[in-house]
Amino acid sequence: MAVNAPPAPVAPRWQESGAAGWLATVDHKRIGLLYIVTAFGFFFAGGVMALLMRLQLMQAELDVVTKDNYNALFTLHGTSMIFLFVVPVLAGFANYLVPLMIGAKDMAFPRLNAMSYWFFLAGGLVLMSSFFADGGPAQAGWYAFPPLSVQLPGNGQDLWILGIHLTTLSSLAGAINFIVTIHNMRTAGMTWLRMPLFVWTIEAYAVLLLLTLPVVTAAVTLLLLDRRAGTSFFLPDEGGSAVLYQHMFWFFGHPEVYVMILPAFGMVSEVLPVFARKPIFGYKAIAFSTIGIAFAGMLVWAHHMFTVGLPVWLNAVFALTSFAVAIPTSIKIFNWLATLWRGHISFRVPMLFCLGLLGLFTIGGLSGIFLAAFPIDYQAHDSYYVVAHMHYVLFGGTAFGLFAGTYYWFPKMTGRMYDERLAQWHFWLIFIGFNMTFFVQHLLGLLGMPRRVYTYTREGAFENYNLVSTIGTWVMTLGLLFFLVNMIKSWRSGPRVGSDPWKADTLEWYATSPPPPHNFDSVPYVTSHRPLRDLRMRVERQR
Amino acid sequence: MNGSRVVLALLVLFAATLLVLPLTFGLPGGTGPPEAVTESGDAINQVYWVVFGMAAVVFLIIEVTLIAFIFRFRRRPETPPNVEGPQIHGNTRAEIVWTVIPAVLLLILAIYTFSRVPEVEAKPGGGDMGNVVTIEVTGHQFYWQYRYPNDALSYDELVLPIDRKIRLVLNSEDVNHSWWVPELTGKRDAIPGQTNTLYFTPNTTGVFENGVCGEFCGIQHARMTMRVEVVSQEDFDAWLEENAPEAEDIALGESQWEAACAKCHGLDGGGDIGPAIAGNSILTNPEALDLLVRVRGQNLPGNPSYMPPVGKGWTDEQLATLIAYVKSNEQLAGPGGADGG
Repeated sequence: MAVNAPPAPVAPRWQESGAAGWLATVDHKRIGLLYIVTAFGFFFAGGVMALLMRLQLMQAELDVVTKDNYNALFTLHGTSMIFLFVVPVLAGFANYLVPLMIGAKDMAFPRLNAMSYWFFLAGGLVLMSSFFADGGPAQAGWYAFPPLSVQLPGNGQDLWILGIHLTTLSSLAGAINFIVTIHNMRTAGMTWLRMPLFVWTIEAYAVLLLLTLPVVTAAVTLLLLDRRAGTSFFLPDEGGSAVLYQHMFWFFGHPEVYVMILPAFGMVSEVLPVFARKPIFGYKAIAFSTIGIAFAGMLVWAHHMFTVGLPVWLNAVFALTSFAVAIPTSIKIFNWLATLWRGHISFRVPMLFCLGLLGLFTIGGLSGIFLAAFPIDYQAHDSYYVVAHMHYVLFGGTAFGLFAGTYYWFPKMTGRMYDERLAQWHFWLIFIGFNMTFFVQHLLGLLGMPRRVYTYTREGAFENYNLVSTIGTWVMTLGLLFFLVNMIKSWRSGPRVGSDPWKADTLEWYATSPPPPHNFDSVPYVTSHRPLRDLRMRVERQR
Repeated sequence: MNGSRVVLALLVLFAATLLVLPLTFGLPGGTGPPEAVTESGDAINQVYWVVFGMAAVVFLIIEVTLIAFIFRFRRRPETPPNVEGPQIHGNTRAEIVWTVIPAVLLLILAIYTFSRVPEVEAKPGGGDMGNVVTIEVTGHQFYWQYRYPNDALSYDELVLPIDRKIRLVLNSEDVNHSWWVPELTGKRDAIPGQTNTLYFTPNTTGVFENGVCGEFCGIQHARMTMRVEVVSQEDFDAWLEENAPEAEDIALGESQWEAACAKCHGLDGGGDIGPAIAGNSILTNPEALDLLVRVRGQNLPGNPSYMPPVGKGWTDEQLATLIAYVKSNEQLAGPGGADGG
């Protein structure tokens, strides 16, 4: 009787709900969410490491953690925040958003995309396993300069190298995927100058990764050979060069900063116009300044090496290129300010984080000019001034942008609205705690506190600044708890939202919230960089 | 969050945080690098203040504009939800202005910075002939070794004459270090396999106790501290004479012990991160000690407390001096080790 009935439709494995569906998924949205959730997991792990470090430094001569554990903490804090949080969480947002924003059904290579995620997870677990390694965890800092990183015994450093290999492979595959997707899969009418600005920044992110990751992979491979195969690429005693590694590492390490900040800038460029109810000011200027920052960012690596004794003229060249980065960066800031001008600014949390980024990244950008003027760097290099500068860029910049993006796209990804009240608490606690933690570190650095010391002996203002900084980390922790609770609670039971709760400009809001596996039934022809607003206007005119 | 009053209050907090922050630069010790006692240090501080002045202006322009726009263009409760701002997409003239002005400012800043570089680098000119005092600085895990023109040695403590051009020749025997005394001048790395030079001329006598190692160098990086004493020429000459090399100088051996051994094994050799070594026969056995501290260090399988070769590059005399000190100290030498035991 049922012989002739058509077979019941069977969803492909990757569309199933439940664990199997997630494990087997090749859907860019699910992979994106896996990336984002996993990366935030590593963010909290790295945050706990930072909390322990600040407890140890709260007062002079404390013994909260042991000396070697302290060194492992800052090594793995830096490594996990960079390789396991910022870069992959951006890959997650890019995964989720780029196909939707350009009106595509998926990434160009869905299976490669899944592989990228699993390599990232594997790399993260390998890096963390360093904590339990025979002979102690990696403890040579996130840049692992030889000869120290060759000298350190035990397997922790080798696991660190393997972890870097896995995460760089993951990012490299991801970068190729993003580039191919952006170049080939834009929907009808979406020319380069009609692409959302976030997609522009992901293009820059991917190109920078593609050009620089192979160099760091080579560097840590040579490091592994020096450690385990008896070679001496970086060992001066046997004719190698310790400085060579620094060139290779920073050739990757500085563009990496732009890899981490540009997509956050892209998020600002998406969120700011929506909550100011105005078009972005200077679309082309912002798009091209992204490329300008990426290009100039490839030419500045030796500003991390002003004190290694390079010829002075070379320091001057790298100071000039570093100054040059400030030009496209200030173009972005002024265009964002101009976007606010005559807007109707509503202070929903995504907007607050964007405004916070504008205020705080400015401080991080300006302190970068001090460091680029190499005579000042002779004083400030490797001091807490650099720690402060870097966190104003990577937390006040990147993390604030990420929080803005997380709240902004939360309704799209989950189909539910976050809790505004909890989110406001999150913002204000983070804003205050962040400044308490890191602003005083400028002063500590100028007073002469070097990085990576597990304790200090100086008292007075020196000790008080350290205390303020430690208290700040607890204020931040409280803020992050509000974030965590909000995410869990709202994902489970937040109020349902429609496809476009913000009245936004870009195509991802044309899909349902959350979007179906194939994203769109149809995509409107794109005639500007604000296709959704164009559509809204057309509908209104027809009424 | 309801009520525009709460929003306003919070925006005031936002504004206050961003604008009050720079004031904290006026707190004690917060006004730039510490006052320098060298011309090169002064030059660095002046570059700092010029950059600071420019950065402060830019900072104020951006933050004040941001805060003013936030207040001025905030959505009022009575604004209907669908109202949009004017559809302004950009302005080429504005783009040119805020591209060219920062570029010009940065160019001026670069020219000014480069013009001060000769003073910062402080390379000796013709007038300095015969006025240069060269001191070899060797970075070790985890101490600084200084060798003076008459081959006198000191550890973690540097004595310098006032008003002479000091030429530090920096090297390392193991990993990367960085020599930094904030009051004197900027830091310079001590890197194995390469020789770096740092010049400066101290113009004030005094003791500067905040010397550190700037580049992470291993487990006791935090303890690689040092002090610099600037004294008059007569005192410097007297110091050199007093510390001229002599065989088995016990006082020197003691400072060598404090620098190279005590930071990991405790002042009394009772152990800290390294094991207790007081009374260990290796300490008084020249062949065994040579192998341990000059050649290969100690790296026992399964034992995380790795010991670097802390005395790499030591001369035979330095090794003998350390042994002489150990032998002079009953507790360290142990039974049978001390002289006349």
